[in-house]
Amino acid sequence: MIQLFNATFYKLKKEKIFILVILMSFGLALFEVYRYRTHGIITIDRIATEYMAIYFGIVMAFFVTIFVGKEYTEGGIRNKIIWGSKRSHIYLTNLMISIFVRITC
Amino acid sequence: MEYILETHNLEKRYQNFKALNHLNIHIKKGAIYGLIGKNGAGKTTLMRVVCGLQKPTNGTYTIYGISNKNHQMNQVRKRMGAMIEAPSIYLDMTARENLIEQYKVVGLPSFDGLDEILKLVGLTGIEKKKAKTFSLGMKQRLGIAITLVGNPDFLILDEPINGLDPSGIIEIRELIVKLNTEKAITFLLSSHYLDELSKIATDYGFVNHGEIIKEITRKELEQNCQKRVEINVSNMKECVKCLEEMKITYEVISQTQVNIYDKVNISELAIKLSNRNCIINAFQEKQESLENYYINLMGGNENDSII
Repeated sequence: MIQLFNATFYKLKKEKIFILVILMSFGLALFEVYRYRTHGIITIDRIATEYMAIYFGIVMAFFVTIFVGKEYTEGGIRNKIIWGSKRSHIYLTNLMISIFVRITC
Repeated sequence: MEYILETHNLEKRYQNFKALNHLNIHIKKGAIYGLIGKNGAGKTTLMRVVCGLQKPTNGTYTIYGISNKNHQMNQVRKRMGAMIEAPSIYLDMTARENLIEQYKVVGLPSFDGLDEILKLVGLTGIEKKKAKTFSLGMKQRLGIAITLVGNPDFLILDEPINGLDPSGIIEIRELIVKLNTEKAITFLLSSHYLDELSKIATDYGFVNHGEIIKEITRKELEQNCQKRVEINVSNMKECVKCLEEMKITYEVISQTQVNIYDKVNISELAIKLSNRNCIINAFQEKQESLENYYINLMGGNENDSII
């Protein structure tokens, strides 16, 4: 499974969607800071509910759909299964990468 | 006889439809096995099942003697590669990056041999070009290159020359022959281009409605398709004596039919047979191509064509 993780991580580094997600997160963060500076006091629960739950949920949905979806549309998952990797390992690897992206952003 | 792949009454059912129907196939080590059948015969389904992309409904298959129900099958799969339906490549990555990704999936510690693989499939000099800009032929070649990572012994290629131009077809054909002779890689190929398949395949399997109708070696096929004159005679005993005297290669098919494989002057033969009270009732010159053999085997009445 480490091989799968290495391969998927390598693929992640080459993906434009990863860069885009980081930029979107940065942009959203700046937007939130601007909003609260002009409209009110920044509180942790407002950041948690609006920024984390709503905005970032949308960003992650976007990322996971495209990144994991490509495994199917471009056939990468086929190569992994043919090589002998278990589907559960492939799914778990994609989950771990998604969590990594979530933390990074 | 060592078989790389054997299936035992393999069945794949989708509700009421049987894509594979008690299919039994035997692929010898070192063979280039050509799987021939019309659209929807079950060729791709067989390949998908054998590669582990789908589970069989019934029946079993063995690869290198290991059954699909054995937990060691995942280890066995590391000795094979496959390209099913379309090349599985990441379009936003270059050819080199695609291969590096596959190297990492395989778990190879270094990228030794990567350049050789690219050279082998003719994809050198385009290191910075992303796969999405490749032509279909280049994508097919990259797909084959990916299957070669990990030095497999057994490759399954589903229509590898689909969509290629004539020079591309020749390149892929030569590549397959080279890999088979130099690296002793066994191939399972499916193709609609029977002429191309007849140039490289050592064994053939004809598939129809999910089952193997016939398995035949190249030698047997050549014998069956060999140019010959089929003669129907009234006295087989005298006919055989006459052919022996004339030193002609022949084969007795039945009490009344004999096949002649050498060039023969029919008039001269007819006179000689007549002198022995043997009459030629009918004669016909025949030479079958693989295409004709296939059509005769499948039944010429069916409208579906192989292309």
